[in-house]
Amino acid sequence: MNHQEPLLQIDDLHVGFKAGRKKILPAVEGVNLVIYPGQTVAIVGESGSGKSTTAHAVIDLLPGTGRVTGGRILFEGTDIVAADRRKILALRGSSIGLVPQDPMSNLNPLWRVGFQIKEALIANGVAHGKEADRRVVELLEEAGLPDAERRAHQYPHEFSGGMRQRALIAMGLAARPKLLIADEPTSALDVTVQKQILDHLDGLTATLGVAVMLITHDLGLAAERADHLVVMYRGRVVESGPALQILQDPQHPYTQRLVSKAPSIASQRLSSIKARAQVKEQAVEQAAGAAAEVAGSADQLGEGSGQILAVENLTKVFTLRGARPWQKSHFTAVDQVSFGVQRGTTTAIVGESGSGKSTVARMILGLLPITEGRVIFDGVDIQQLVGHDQRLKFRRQLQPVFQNPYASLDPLYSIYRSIEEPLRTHGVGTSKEREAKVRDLLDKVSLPSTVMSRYPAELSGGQRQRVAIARALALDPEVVICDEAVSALDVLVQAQILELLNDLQAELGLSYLFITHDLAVVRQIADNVLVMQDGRVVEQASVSEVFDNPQQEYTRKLLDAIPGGSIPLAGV
Amino acid sequence: MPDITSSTPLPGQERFVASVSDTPLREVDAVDTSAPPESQWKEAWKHLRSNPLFWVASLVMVVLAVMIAVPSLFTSADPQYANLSDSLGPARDGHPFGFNKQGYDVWARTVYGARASVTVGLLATLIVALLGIITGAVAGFFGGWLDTIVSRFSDIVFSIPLLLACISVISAVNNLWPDRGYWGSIMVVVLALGAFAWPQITRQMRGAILEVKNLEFVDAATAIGASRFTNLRRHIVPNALAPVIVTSTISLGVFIVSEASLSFLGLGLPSTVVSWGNDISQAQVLVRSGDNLDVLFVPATALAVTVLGFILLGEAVREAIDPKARKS
Amino acid sequence: MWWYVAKRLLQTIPVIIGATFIISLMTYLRQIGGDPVAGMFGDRPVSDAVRVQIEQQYHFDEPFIIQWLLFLKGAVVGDFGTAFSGQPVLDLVKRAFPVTVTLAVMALIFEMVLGIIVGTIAGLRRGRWFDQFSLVLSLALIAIPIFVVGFVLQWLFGVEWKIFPATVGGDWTIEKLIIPAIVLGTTSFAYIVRLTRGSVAESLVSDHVRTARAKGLSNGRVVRNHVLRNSLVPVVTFLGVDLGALMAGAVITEGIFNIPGVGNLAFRAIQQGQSPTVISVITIMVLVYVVTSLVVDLLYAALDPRIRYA
Repeated sequence: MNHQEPLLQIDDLHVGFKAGRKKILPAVEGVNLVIYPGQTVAIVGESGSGKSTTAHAVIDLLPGTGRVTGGRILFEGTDIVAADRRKILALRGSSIGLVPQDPMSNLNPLWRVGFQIKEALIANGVAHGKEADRRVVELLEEAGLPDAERRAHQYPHEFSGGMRQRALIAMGLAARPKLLIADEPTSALDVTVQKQILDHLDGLTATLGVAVMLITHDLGLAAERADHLVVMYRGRVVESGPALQILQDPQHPYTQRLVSKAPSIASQRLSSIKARAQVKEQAVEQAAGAAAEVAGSADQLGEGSGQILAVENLTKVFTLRGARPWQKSHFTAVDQVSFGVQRGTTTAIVGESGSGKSTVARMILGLLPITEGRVIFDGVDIQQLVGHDQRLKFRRQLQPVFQNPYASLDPLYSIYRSIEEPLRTHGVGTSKEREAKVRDLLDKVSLPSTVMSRYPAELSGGQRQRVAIARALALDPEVVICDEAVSALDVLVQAQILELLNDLQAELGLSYLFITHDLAVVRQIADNVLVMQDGRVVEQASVSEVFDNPQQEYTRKLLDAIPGGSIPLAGV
Repeated sequence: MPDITSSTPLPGQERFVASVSDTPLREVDAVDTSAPPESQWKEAWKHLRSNPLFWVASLVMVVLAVMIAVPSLFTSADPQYANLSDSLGPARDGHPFGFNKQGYDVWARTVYGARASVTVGLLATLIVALLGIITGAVAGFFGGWLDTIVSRFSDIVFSIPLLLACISVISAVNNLWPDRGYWGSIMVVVLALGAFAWPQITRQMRGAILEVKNLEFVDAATAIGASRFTNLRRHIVPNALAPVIVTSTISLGVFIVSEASLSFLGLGLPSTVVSWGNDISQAQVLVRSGDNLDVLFVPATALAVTVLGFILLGEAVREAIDPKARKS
Repeated sequence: MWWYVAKRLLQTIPVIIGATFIISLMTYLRQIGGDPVAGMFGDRPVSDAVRVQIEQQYHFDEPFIIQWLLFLKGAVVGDFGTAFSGQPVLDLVKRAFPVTVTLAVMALIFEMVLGIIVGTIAGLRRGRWFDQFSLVLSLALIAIPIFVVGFVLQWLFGVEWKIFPATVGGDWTIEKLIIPAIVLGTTSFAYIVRLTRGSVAESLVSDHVRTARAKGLSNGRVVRNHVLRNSLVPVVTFLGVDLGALMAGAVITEGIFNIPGVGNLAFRAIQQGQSPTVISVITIMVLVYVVTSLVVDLLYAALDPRIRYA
């Protein structure tokens, strides 16, 4: 790259949000950033870091109460912060394009996709009428959308997530801007689709010579796709520089944290593999003790065997109503899945959306009726359970933690009540004893006991997940099923929760069934892995086997698609 | 990927590390123990408190409540006493708004009329809310043919215009039970309104239940071992009530207006009962230009202010409960 | 899409059957309570022979279910029976219908056009004086009973300022119906203002509007294509419900302004206990509501492509 003038230069930018009449809450403080023509620069940060706010400030698209309170934004040498309405409108689309984050909510559901792209062409004076229609199809093809001619006449709800994202990319590049702001362009998508789209975007922007400002929370992804990295934390830039350098030699404590905890990178480290092995050893020991107890007690369901959970030929077929009421179609969500979980170990089920992994979990939990096959919990077939008593016993020993922290706790229940509820339902202890138990549980998940009188709305996502874990442990279960339990959390919080889960497993001898779409996380928490695709098990082996020697094509694709997985790390 | 060893960074892209003192690290995801605990209701209350319209509405409610409980605080005149020689007379001592056509004190009748009008509104709202919540919960929770039956039935009732249905029912009852007395009359109007106005609440409740029942905390409760009914009672219904509360508060006002409209048609409360509806409709029929217009405007204003009060209250509650509706 | 239409059509059948059942039941109650035959003749005495004849003609001697079924049978072929005055009910309704329909349509146009305009401006300028003003105005209009509004407007325009006639009477013209239409549409106007306002305000801060702006669209285009279009959907839903309310509100408006419409017909018939007229008129109103609600649903499907393919 020749030495050129910067395309975009952000100098000491300050952005704030109006709160009440006089106060302004700072969101971005003193950010400096330079992007050269044709370059890809990534801004990395967790939620609340200010990365999206910075990006939106560039094209004056801050939400209602947002204001730029200081600094300059120079585009091709001119400060656009104080630019008038017309100048900004001219810039948008034709000089600076945007590919927004959530593909569903960013397309107008009432207009055809082709029309929405055509708007971009017309508004920026690129083409009109029939010429524009032709251009739209070309753009969609360019963005990698198959069957573009037909698709252009369809509505957004007829597109899949990946297709919608491609349409948004086509829209962003329609007027051939010099700079493309890509705001988490693939976070909502499956990993393999993500890789496809990003690869495509890379190629496209390279061909067109478009500079890219890539906003992402994934450090591995950023390092893979960008030349220059900017790390943001709580509204400020904490570190910036060449991508590989930062990854291999992070200097700021926050960057160091990120690098050590980001799953796609961390999971490659030997240290995390060793840590997991230790956890497993302890857990299995604890569990063996518990097993002996179970074998001897009449109170608990089960034989105390080594294999605490066994699934045989599990199948789920959904009957869907067709377009006409007499038309019915059958959809096989889960097809002949078999696996086992040994006491004190973690088995992960990995798959993309539609793979059936959550359906398997729900069947095991008894939330969904089983079409075919058996689920055997410690030697007992759960479909043979008779009577309220037996079913309650089963429930005690198998508990879930769900994905969405904002929906897993009843908003009207205090934290105390939420955790106490299982104890109440099973009639455990007096109210004093229950209170003591709740305190103990909160302690186990590292939450202060003052949290008891609070309500879910006051806690963060990670904190709520910890409450959900505490609730799951209330009845001293043997198996905990984590259904995408960390998927909705920020990287560092995710790492925290995974650590917590590991610690609890070692301490209590728990067995986990861990459902996730993120293969990178698997290495840190699981011993065995099941890879599912379209309802079937594609590959099944220990974690190290799958990572070091994947047998199936699909597994290899999944591993390949882990963002940042190919980056050579120092001292691995 | 560029080779890190050979290229020198471009100006503005050199390696930069912020000073740790400028960017201190916080503990990951620490709990803020300083703020006092706040439930969803407390937070809603905070928003409510800061909304001036809420206070206006509350003032109206309080005045109204006092007026109904202790009307003698507001007027010393007797609403049942009429002296024809005072017909349409102007205001004088102790009678701030003069007299109506039959010689009744306008202000006294308005003050005492609050009782009947508000009672009708309140009772009708309670019945509609009860019917609506139960049917909506049954339809939303159980689904299947139960849902179809309830929804179809609710469609049927909804298709009959409320006013016409009430007119029919009350006219029929007028024949069957002509001398109803105070409470009898009120109950007839209340039941007529209640029998035909519930579908709207049913729909709302059903929609809310459909939304809530798929949330994960319901699954978590099932996984603990709670039965379907326990779930319904403990988790689903309480979380689905918010929109119903808002709509009910607003419809309270609407029912008071409906009573007035029915009285205008001669089918509301009988003229022996002191109510705003009766006063307003009689005033319209009997008053000619040049007469004491207060006869119409005093009860009409009282009605409008009361209804406005309930509607404002409902709106204020809606804004407080639903974060999306807030003005920020 | 056609399946959606067919499904909706099928749904209307139980509604019509159920509604006629309920209405017939209510009118039947009226029969039991009073003496329907005597009601016809006012204060004049009725001879036994005439009484028996009338009872047979109107099936008053039959049990309720039979009466209802007979009515349905007649309705299907368009025979709604004969009013006590001797005229076929269908004729009475045919004469009264046009005026009410005109009135309702005028009210609809008024409330829709003005309501959407006011609501949109208020939504676009949220928080500013126009918004506050329209909010207060709409609340006030909902709180004041329709007959008070009617009375005030009638007095203002008809008596004081003498711009429009105070009453309409038999020879009605569109001009004469202007004030009554405004009165009829007032409450709905208020609801539409609030609905549109909320909808526009919500659309303005939605993600897809931000994306539209990011494309470089002018503010006008953004508002037209992305804000208004999306905001219309809930308003259309409301309109489906509203027509029923208008037909009912017509009772009062026609009463105040002396308009010989269906509302008036229904009201007097109910008061006089003329069951066949009552059931027929209300049934026709229900039919109108059902049909318009169907049309509105179809309109809704035309506006929102997601519905068509559901």
